[in-house]
Amino acid sequence: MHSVLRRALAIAGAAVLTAFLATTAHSGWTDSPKVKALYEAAKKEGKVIVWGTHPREVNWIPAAFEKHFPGIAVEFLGDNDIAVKAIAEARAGRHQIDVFWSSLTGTLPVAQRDLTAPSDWSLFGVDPRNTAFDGKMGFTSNIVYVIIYNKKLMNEADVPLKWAQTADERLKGKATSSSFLLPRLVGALALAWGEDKALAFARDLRDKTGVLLTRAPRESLLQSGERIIAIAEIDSQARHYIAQGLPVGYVVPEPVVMGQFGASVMKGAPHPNAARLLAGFLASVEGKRLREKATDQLDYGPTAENVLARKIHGGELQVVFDRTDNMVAREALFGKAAAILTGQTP
Amino acid sequence: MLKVTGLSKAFALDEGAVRAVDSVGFEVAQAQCFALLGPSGCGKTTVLRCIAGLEQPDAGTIEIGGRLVTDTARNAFMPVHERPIGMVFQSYAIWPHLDVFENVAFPLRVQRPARPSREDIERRVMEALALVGMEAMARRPAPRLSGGQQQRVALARAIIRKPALLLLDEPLSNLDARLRETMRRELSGLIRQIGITALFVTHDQVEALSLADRVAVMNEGRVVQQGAPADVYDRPRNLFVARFLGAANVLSGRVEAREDDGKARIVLDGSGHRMLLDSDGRPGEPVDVVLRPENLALMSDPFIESTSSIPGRVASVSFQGGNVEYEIDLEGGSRLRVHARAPARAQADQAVRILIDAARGMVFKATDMSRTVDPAAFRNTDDDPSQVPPYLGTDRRR
Amino acid sequence: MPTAGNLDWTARLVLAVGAGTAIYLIAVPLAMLLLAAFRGPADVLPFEPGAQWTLEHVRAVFNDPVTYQRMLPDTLVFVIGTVALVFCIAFALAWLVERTDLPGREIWFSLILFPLLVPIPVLAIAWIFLMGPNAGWLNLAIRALFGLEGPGPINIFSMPGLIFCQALASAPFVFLLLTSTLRSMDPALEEASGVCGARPLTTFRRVTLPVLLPGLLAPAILITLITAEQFELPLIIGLPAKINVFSYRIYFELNPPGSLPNYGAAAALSLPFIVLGTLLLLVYNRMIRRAERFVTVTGKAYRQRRLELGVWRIPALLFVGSYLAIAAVLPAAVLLWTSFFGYATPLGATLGDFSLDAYRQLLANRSFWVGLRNTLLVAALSALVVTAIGALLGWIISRSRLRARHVLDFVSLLSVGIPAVIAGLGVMLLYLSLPVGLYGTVWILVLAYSYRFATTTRLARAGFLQIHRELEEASAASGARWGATQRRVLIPLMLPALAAGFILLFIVGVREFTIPLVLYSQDNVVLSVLLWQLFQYGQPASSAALASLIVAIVLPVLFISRRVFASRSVAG
Repeated sequence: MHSVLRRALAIAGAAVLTAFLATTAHSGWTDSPKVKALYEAAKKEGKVIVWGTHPREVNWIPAAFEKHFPGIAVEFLGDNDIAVKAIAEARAGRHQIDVFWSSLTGTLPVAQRDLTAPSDWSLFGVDPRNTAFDGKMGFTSNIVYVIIYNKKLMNEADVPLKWAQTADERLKGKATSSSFLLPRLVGALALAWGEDKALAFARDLRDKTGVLLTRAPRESLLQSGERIIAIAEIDSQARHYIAQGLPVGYVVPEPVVMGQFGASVMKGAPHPNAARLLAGFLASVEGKRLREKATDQLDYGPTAENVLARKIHGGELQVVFDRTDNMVAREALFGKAAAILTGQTP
Repeated sequence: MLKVTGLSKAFALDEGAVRAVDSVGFEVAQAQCFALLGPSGCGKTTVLRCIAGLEQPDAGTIEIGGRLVTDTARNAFMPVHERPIGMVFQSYAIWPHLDVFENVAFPLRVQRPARPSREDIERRVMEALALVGMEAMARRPAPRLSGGQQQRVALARAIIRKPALLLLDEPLSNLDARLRETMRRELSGLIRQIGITALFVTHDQVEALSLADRVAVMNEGRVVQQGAPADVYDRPRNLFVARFLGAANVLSGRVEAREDDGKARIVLDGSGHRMLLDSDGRPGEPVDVVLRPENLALMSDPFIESTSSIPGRVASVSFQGGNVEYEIDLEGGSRLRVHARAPARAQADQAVRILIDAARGMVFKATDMSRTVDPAAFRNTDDDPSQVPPYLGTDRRR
Repeated sequence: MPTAGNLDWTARLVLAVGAGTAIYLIAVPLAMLLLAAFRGPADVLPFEPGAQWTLEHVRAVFNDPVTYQRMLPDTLVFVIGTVALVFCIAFALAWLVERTDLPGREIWFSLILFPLLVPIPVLAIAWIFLMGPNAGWLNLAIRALFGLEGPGPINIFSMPGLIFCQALASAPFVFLLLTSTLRSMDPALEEASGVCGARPLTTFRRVTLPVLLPGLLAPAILITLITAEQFELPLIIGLPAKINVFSYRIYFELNPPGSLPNYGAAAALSLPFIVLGTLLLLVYNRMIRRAERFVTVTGKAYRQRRLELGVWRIPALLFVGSYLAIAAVLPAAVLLWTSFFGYATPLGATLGDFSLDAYRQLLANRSFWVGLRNTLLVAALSALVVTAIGALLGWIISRSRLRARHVLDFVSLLSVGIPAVIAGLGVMLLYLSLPVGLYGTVWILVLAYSYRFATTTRLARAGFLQIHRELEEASAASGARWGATQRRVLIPLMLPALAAGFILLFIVGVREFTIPLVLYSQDNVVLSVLLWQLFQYGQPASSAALASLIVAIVLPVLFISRRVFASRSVAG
């Protein structure tokens, strides 16, 4: 009895210690003196303005940030054209943005024009692998391309698990895809397959599968049964549909095509300290967790702890990463793929 | 040729007023020219449109050339395009996209079943145009026609099929005074020349009296009096007809006594003047006396007494070319208009006597309407601006 | 006719301000368009340093074989097909409502305008539900009825399908313009034809149509330009059918992967619209000169002689009813259903799926109320500005001998050819650069919306044609100065035409979303942008609820419109 009890206590104590260490390890950065100083300076500035690609991507931030760093008001703007606006505003000498949240390719034009400023991400516990543009951008989350299918009309076992399998006559008349996303998918696949095979894939999708390319909400096509599967969708969107009650499921086919999103501090930020604080917060583990809860967008980076992330970085899957070194190549084929898919070129 | 019986129609206008045609009936004999005369809103145009088949009456029958084209009792209604009629619209309705020739040729081109040959059409159109004096303008586009020219084209178009009945809606009201006179004569001549039966509506009594063989005076949906122009003019049935058919001085008075020869002695209100007139009025009855200006004459000598002359003072003298119109104030406030031939024989403010042709005076039972005595109030309304022909937008000098 | 010489100072001032404003409002979008088209390269924004004058965009468009092999033919077929079909539908509807004794015409008039209120993507989705080849209800019904198999027979994702949908969506606009034209025709012309022995059909063929033809020109030209610019339906329904129209390509260039929108290519693709607009205007002016004489002078609406339908009443009602069912009732039903039931389908839904949450959330959202206020404000103000400008321009063009009037005529029609997104960009850049504090406010939207004054100018011009010059001249002869004549004579007579233009613009202003999207800030959010955002993020119940609310808010405008449009004839 004694020894059992002692062992139990030891285990319990170890567990408590581990938990304690774990929490301090995570929340450690909020207590660091540098961050505290940053916070004080930010509080004096009183406000921070963040721009994102869609209101839903940023409208959760004020409440979340407030909890951790009270006293700083957060204003946000969510729009497709933030890059153009940021550039136009900077050129006109009006600097309104503190933090710029977008994809790698979305941030590129802004970074290229030297409108973003480097930040010390390590302050916030961010692994250097999760940064880009020489430390000017801190990663917050990823998307992966998925296939969404109507659960009532198709079995999970029948859903293709490789992109190449979607170019199949058996799927004729059953597939739809976004005219916005499919060309991007093809462009990314060219990195894994080479340009010729990727374009041939696009042709097959068009001719063999007869994919219905549209900007209409694909979920309404799935819902009505007009089509059964939607190729080249976003995983967070899929989770969103399921949460809304749509009878769909999704799979992540190989090669896994990833998209990278992150936050950057603007060079002309009117509230530089608050900007750095917010950007770092968004790139931190806490920020990522809160983002996941609010927008269904996960982090699949090397430090992430979910199943898919581990598989991706564990080498189990063929992956096309979204990185600064392959960004341009990915987009190069976009035009050609789109032209094929829309029937402009044979 | 045309027989209308018991024609009635009631309909509401946009403003909420209700206009009605009430049991109108008349006949037009072959080759006769008949006028429906009346003020705006009396229903005459509605009657015309019912005859044309452009409107359906609520009750009544219409026969054209012996054929029953409308019979409400039997629910029979011949559509407009089957009726043997020709019509000249008030706005002429010349089609702007066709030239003169094509406008006139139209009825022949749409004729069913047997359409005339091209040569036939050409011949008949030029004939019709010659009748109205427009053959030189056969190829002129419609929008370039003046008012008078449009009217001729409309006329040619209306008669080209040699219809049994010609209908005209205010044919002369859109023309200027000089043109009106000319056209009146031409129209009259033309109608007689081709021997067609014609019915026209107008609010202008000069038009009616001069063109028509018979006149029907309408007011508030009813035919008030029918007859030959001279009859209706000289022997109006009531004050309305008397005033509508020509200028009229209306004086109120009372029957004082009856004479043996059937005349009545009437004393006028205001001036107290007495006159003897043909009337069955009984003593004490209030009456209105109508004296036409042309039946009055001016005597410059104020001292000649006569039972049929009234003293007065000249208020104004108006020179009208061949005629002179005097306005004479009577004692007691009434004012008379007198027409005489030029030159003027009196001046303003002169004391004169007015000779009355008692045989032509008309006496009516006094009605509420006739209490206002100012004859100017009943001057005919000229040129209602809403009746301007609509679709020739360029400058149209009338 | 007044030349510059016999106008007094008030007149000159007002006209100058009006014309100047018009030119200013359109100069900015136009300048942006030209700037973008001729500056490159593609990854540098037109206004940035490093941009140079270049023909590369224009060359890229015009040397690309795709332009000639696919885009040009597709666009031509799409535009011509749509304009032909929309005229058939709209003319039939206008005829039935204005010239026959169709029962219930007053109500039909307002209902036919209903599709104008509904955002086009919503219409598209409803029609996909109806006519989708696999699961469309119409197809299901036909297949069941005739025992057919497989997809179809009706395939909305085809050129005929696209043309059909675009015609349905554009029909209310054309209907509105046509009813005015019909009202302005003298019934005596048709009566005379009847009297001459022509049967009703013959009258229609030989008299009605030829006389109406000039009055059909303006709507025809406007709808041609507007159709050429449409991209929503070609995007949603045409793209799946591999139909590539110019407008889609413009959209495509503006939404490239990640990096910046290719304004240069988009602008270069818009240049043909300008050319097209100019050509059409020249044609129009040539034809209208002859036809001006066809048009009425007194400004009165004729009391039309109504054709009695008799047995044709039933097919006529069926026709109107079908149009309304497909174009109005169905989308409205889909909207309402989705707003209450979200993704649940009508067959599978239970009472438990019903929820007012979407509405509750919407009404509790501050953005909604801000958006509502902004939408009404911007739509009303811009409609007012454009109507005023249209009236002034219309007067100058049709009434004066000022030499500027040809330029102004051209300028006004030009505005239809400039895509909204380019206009928005131009406005954004201008006000970013100016020290005026308009950027990001509601007022910038008013300015940006107000560059489309082609329609009101045409309406005003037609309205002026119907008012005899003598009415103005009489006023002048009575001693009234130009300003007083406008105020006391012309404007009251023109009021129906102006009111019609205002209502149309208001409705369009509520629907506009491209421009407010470009100029979007938190303060100037409008409901259409909110809708677009909800739509894009796949929140069907919320977006449907918002769309329903938008429709409900603008619906009263429809019902007063009948009274406004019916009182006088408004267009030639």
